[in-house]
Amino acid sequence: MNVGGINHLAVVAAAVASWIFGAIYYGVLGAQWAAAVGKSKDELMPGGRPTTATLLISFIAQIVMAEMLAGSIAHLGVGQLSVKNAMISAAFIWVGFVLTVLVTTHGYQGNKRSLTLIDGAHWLGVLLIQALVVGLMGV
Amino acid sequence: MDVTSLEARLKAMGLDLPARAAEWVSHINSTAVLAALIGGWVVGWIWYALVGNVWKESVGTGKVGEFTPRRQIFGGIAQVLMTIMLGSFMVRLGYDGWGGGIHTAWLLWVGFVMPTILVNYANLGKRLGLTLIDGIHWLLVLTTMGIIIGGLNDLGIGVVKPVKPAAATPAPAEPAKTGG
Repeated sequence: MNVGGINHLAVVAAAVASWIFGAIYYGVLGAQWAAAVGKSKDELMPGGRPTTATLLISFIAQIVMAEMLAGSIAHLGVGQLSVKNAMISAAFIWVGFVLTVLVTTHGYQGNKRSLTLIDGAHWLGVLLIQALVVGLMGV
Repeated sequence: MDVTSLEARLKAMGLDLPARAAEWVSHINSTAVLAALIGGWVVGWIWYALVGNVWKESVGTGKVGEFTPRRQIFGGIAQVLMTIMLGSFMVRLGYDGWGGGIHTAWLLWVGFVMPTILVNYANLGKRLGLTLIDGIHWLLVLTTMGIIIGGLNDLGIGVVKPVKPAAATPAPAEPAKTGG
């Protein structure tokens, strides 16, 4: 993956877009998510909002994810970059390396299926939005 | 829902999914997938045998870590998918051999596995120890899979079989050479 030759503006834009999506997603599904975890919202988010550290970790993680996604899309080949192909790549990555990890770790930790579903759908949204931005802006 | 009309609509959009999925599956080598799957499983089993107690303390109580049939089936399916995707990525990135397998595995771990675990565990307020234990587990699993897939690839047993070029037009007959 040629990290040096990636369009970093597209990567940052993709990470910002997916991070905003995450904030809206967990804002809307906050109650369902807390119920799936089995804790109250206050226990999970003292003060009613995520900590600065959590928000920062989330943003940095999504920058790394967008960089790798862009690198992967760049390897599609000459003339193959399109929003559709980028989004198909993102969906495959989600199945191969995100959903697999979530299903296994959540399963063995005894978490509810609804938590895997909520968190899994969040990551699918993140990856598809990043692919859309990278596909539109180019790698 | 009318499946046929949905299929036709997807085809019109350029997404001939059933045909593409069938073609994709036909190129997967089950021997390589099985070898990498077993390798990943063995490494995961050894890892949690070593750090299982620390892991259990970090997660909490309940049915934590029990090997129920459901968990094993889902875990197995997940690792099969991961193996196939890892092999496909090696082909896409053009990496070969066991070194290429490790390279691909680490890129995917840094790019997609670790960000997922870090963010989810941070949101859930899990201990850093748990993030490290599970994160290292996936690094070991992916690295082992990468070594096996890459090594088998060198022996001509790739996870994704090479696609033969379609013989749509027969090659023109070579003109007969005259001796000289």
